[in-house]
Amino acid sequence: MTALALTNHQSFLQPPRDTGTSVCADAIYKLIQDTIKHLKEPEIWHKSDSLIAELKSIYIECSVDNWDGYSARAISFAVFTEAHSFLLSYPSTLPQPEIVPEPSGEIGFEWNFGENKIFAASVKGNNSIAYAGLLGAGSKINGIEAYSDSIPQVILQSIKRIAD
Amino acid sequence: MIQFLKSFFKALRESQTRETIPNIQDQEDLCRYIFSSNHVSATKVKYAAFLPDKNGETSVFRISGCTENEIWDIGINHVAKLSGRILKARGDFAASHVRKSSLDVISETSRHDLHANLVNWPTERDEQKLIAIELANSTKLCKP
Repeated sequence: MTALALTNHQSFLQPPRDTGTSVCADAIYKLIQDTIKHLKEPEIWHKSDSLIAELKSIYIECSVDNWDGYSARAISFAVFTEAHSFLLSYPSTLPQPEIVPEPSGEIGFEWNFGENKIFAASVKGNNSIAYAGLLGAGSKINGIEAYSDSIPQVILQSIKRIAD
Repeated sequence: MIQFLKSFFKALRESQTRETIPNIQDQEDLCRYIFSSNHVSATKVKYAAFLPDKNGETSVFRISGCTENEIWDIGINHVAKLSGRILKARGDFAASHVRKSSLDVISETSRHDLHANLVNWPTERDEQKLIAIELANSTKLCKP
């Protein structure tokens, strides 16, 4: 019988000291280490993987002029990196946006929860976010906020409001 | 003489066509042809499909009285051919929705008799976005 001998294990997220010597004990120890590593990673790393891939795909597709057939401006690398930063900052507890290239060369994010519940925000590569939305019948919002590392609260609150 | 008559009748036809196309009424239906798959979802047209081009206009077509085949024919054989792209979808909406905002829709027939532009877009990008969202909110997605 093979067993993993753990001593004085204080916390689940602290790597235990491995006193086992067999191949199986090593495998179990590695499994525990990988699990702890995974649990310590921000959840956004997992949830936004597909969005990051979609963002890259849209950037490649729209990095040339006239990508929409109506003389749209190409999306620049500066816009792409700001959109990337936005996704990394975006809380995983909120609904994921759809990524929408805009003819001005901006990258937008859209949350559509049906009639009169649509919100969008876009980055332009100049540290600002433009946003607008319908937050229910008769309620509208729009504005421009500075953006560096964290997403402005007015945007997060608007998304929460139409998602509830 | 023949050249003169050709020019005369061409000018006559064009003036008759202009006379038969009245100003755009609020109850008229319009459509926006969409060439980017990123501007539609499974059931909706996304707001960015309506944002203005670099000239500050959004190109649309008047479709009241047209059959489905005629509407797609304009999109495929006139608009798509000009832009060299593949038509992905179209969004149908009423002129009245356009005029609920600061926008207007005016006929612009240099390329096609039924062509029109959404004009008077505000310059601020958040204000443009709000109007585009309102238009998307009242638009019906149609796929070929």
